[in-house]
Amino acid sequence: MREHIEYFRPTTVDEAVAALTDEAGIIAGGTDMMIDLRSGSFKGSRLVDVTGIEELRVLKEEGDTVIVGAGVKIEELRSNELVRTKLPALAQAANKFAGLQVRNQATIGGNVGHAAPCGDTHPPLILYDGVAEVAGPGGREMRPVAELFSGPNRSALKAGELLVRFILKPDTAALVDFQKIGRRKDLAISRVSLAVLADKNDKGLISRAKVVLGACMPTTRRMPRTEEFLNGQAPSLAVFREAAGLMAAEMIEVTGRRPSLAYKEPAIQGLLMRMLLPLIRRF
Amino acid sequence: MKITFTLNGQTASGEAAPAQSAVRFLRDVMGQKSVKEGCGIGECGACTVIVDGKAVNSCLMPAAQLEGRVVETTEGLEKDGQPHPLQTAFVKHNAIQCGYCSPGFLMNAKALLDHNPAPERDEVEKALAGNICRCTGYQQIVDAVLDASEVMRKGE
Amino acid sequence: MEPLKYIGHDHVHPRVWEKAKGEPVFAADMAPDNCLVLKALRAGRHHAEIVSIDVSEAEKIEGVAGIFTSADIPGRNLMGIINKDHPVLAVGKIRSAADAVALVAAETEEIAQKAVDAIKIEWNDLPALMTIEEALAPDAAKIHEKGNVLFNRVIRRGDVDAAFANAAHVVEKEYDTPCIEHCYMEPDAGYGFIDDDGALAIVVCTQNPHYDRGDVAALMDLPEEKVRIIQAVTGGGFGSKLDISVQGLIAVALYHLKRPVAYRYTREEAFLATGKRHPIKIIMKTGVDKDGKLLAMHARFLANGGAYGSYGIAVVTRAAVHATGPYEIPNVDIEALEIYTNHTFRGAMRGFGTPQAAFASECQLDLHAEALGIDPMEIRLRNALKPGAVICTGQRLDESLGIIPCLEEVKPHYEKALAEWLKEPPAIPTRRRGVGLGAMWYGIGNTAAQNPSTAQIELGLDGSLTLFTGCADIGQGSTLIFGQLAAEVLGLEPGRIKIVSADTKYTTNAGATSASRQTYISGNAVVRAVSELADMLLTRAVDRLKVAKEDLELIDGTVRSKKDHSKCLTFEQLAKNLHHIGLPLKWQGYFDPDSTPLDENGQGRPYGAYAYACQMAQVEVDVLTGEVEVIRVVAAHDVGRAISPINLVGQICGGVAMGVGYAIVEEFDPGKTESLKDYHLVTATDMPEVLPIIVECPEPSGPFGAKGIGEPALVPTAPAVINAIYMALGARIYSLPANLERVMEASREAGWFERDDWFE
Repeated sequence: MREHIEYFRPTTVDEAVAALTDEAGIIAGGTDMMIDLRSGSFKGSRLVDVTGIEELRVLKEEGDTVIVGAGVKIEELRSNELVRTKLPALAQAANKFAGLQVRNQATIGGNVGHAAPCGDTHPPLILYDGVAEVAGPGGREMRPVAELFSGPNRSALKAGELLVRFILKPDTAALVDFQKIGRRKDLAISRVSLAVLADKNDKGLISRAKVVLGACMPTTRRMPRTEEFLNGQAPSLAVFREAAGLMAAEMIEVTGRRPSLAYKEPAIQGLLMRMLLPLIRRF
Repeated sequence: MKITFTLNGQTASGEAAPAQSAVRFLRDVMGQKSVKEGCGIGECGACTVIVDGKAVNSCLMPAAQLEGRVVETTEGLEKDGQPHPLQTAFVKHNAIQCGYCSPGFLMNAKALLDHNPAPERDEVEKALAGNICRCTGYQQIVDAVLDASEVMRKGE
Repeated sequence: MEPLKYIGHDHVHPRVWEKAKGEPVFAADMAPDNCLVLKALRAGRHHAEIVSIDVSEAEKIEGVAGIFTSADIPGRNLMGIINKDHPVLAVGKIRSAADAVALVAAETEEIAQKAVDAIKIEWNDLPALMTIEEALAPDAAKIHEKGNVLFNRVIRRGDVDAAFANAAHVVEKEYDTPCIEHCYMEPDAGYGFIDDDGALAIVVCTQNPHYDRGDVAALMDLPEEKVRIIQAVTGGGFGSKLDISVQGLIAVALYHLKRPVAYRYTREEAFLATGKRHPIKIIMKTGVDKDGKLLAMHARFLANGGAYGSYGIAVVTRAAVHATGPYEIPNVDIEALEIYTNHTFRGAMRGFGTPQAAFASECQLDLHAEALGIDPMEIRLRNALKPGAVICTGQRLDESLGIIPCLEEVKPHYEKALAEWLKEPPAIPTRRRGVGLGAMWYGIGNTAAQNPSTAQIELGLDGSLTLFTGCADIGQGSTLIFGQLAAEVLGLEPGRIKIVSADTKYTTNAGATSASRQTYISGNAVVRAVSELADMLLTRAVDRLKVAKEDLELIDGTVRSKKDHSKCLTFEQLAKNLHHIGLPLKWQGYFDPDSTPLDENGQGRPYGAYAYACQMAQVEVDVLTGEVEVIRVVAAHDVGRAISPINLVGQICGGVAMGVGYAIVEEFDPGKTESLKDYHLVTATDMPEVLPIIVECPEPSGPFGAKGIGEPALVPTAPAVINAIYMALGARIYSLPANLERVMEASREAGWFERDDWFE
């Protein structure tokens, strides 16, 4: 706790952006910033508390998209009917996010802004082709969520930029799912997380496959070769196994060989196979 | 900075440092010693208090965010000298061993029952998964919350 | 057993309402506002000589009241309940990163931290010996002058070689168990002040106030009466709070500054600086005859004890004595070594080496069972201790032998699980089910060592009753149990007996809250004290009422004739009468279990009583991800006699939770595990459904037949879970915890990734 820190609570995005100097840090739910303050890893001199900005709390349907304000709490994503029906993978990610108290505090914008590789909202945001509206000194612009991360715990947002909202595209594909593996059922950091979307065409073949892998690489990203392989295949265990192997190879291309792969390499394969099973049979 | 808020139904105010956590403010400035700092990083739930009806880890909340909010702690659970049904149930079901985690469990459970008066067992477990207890193995805590839920519904 | 009036019924703990109301009863809640805040500078390196300590910059910081080093300690700067080798502030060298080198007292936590950061130390680093192999190497640096092997416990009996030669099946395996953090929820805390007697008074979380008093008095070179330890309500301990944590540091600052001082560990400091469960490498070889009867055991336990002895000698001794499990093995050759390394010290933790030993021995039994085609339950029943059995130390056991009753209680649940539950397909298709057993025995109290407890009961002239016990209730409920025991003898509600506990000014030594000993040992001391008083009350009443003693009863605060209730005297009347004729109103009780030291071959009578248990675990294992879910645990525990059934259930469920953590999640990786972010305990959603079964095989030497439960509740869980995982996967895990990585490895070894049959 430092006495010299200035605390500022703006009520508009413009006020916030104006206050976001190099020395400033954003605090919303506090679930990351309070830890950084406690450990001394936050070196700034100003806290900009964005919880007073009404605009960040929007959650609504708009045309064929769903708008999720950056200040929306994770617990709201878990329990909100619109999210549950239109964005089930996001609701599932929220359901597996930390514990209730943290979900009541943490915001989706904070989870993205913090850019932890294991951020549970990242895979579904990318799965739903999420685009973020970012406010900065030069005004507002739209950026794909996947481009908001520049490395592990390194946000691509520049000082002075603020996440305002995410625009997501719901999808009614036959399979839309998020699952993660942690060391316990709740209150767990993802060792591995996957968001998967796939449909079946009128011939029963897989179409529009999307696979987003989290917690395994410096940033969360889609696995295009795995997706391409799956499209047009008849769902079977053998196909899933092959897809899983491809995905592991794709991951290793990014990460190189490292000790944690002893688990993660088979685990992402197993998880993908498990998540694709409903394409063969409902359980 | 001066923080003015509602604490257990009464208007209260106290001086907080700008980056001070709510758990330190509530304990050290406001005297709410029921609020325990078990880990300081939101991994144990011992510091759980209710803010505007929701259970939060007060170690992860800056005191500044309490301004104008409605805060409940275990000190405020008794009404007119009568224990809250959750307190009675915790005692009855041996849900308290060492007692250090108990205020956090009580506040989380209260927020749950205020919002969902008739939870299923798995809903109680899910809601309480943010609170760590090293003594009880949780079974008697969950029993107590379900019992209190029943008592509270009958009382209405 | 005949039903009793207060024993065997559920009562409310006398202090539970304070906790339910969130009252300020923990040390950190009670510390006065004007306390100086203490903070230690910890070495942060593993092994080094201290060349110099420069506090000059730190002293200049405004708000610093004092900085202390070992030079400021007037007395014996060595702590430790069994062997004294642990300085409160380092002298000349440090042996672990946790070692405190200097202590700052300051007006605020921030200033104290700033001052700690400003202390400059010049080091001469020494080789860090972190593994057993490094510490045992012939040319290894000596961590302590006496060398790196602190203790070696040997137990030999019979002819192991001949027995192995005749065995139908022999199996030898190596097992590894992890370092574990106790993770009591209350980080260590205390404060000190000078009390009215001029004593250093320290209010602190602790499991052993009288030991604390002795070591703190020696530290400050004070007579014991000039140190007072007051146990605050203690937020769990599980063995960790047996060691001195903040007590010595508070004493040093208080002694010099004569001002209230407080020390509260952060969770990070508690993780760094307090004792841990020993990781033990176990090499175990066992042989059985064709019927699965155990013939011989050869076992080696190598315990990585860290930098200081703490309870290490007790841990390896208990591991050795319990190596056989609750089974008769006529030929044994067991050796257990406590080895110094440069880790934060390892000490007592719930089970003292028994959880480690049980993991190995229970896996061995299943290996034999599988090789011989015998059911795991059957092989346990065939080998279980029966009256007249002789254990590995040569002690013959005849009474209160609860292992077969525990196995028999679990058996129908086990058979049902195999016949029905195992056959149902799991809801998640990538999962496989398994059922496993774990059994255990546990000697109550210190191993082969003197182990006394004392208690007093005082009758007030107004008829009130006050029970004095030195026993620290750390949440397990000893105060509740003693109240029920006293109530049973005196014939009145437990709530009418005031209990004063664990303040060294008012109570006498009850020994440590450890080794599951307080119900059995301090409970006996309480029963004896109270029985003395009861007998005196009856004796006086005979004289006053002219009714024979056998026709009198103690009921509801009176002594009355069983036949004619009008012939009645209240405790108040009797108290005044006793006082008038000069008889004492305060009576003492004492108990020390019947044990003997172990000889050079480990032969002797280590314990006066043993508890037994069997647990069954039902698990689901995801063969493609390595996830394990423990679905259900059936836990049968022989407690001798249930004093508080609801409290036993709480102990059993809590033990199972810790056991599930030990089995599949928990691992303290020194240097990497810093906080609860890295150390995971099971939550409410991970907990299996627990079915506790209380078995009562009365112990003749126990209070109303009672033994203990605290540690036994944990011991069988991990082996039961591991044996169940084996059934699910078809591959066995020899290192705890069976975490994602290890289960995945076993699953791949079993070929699940190439198989399609999990899907069919």
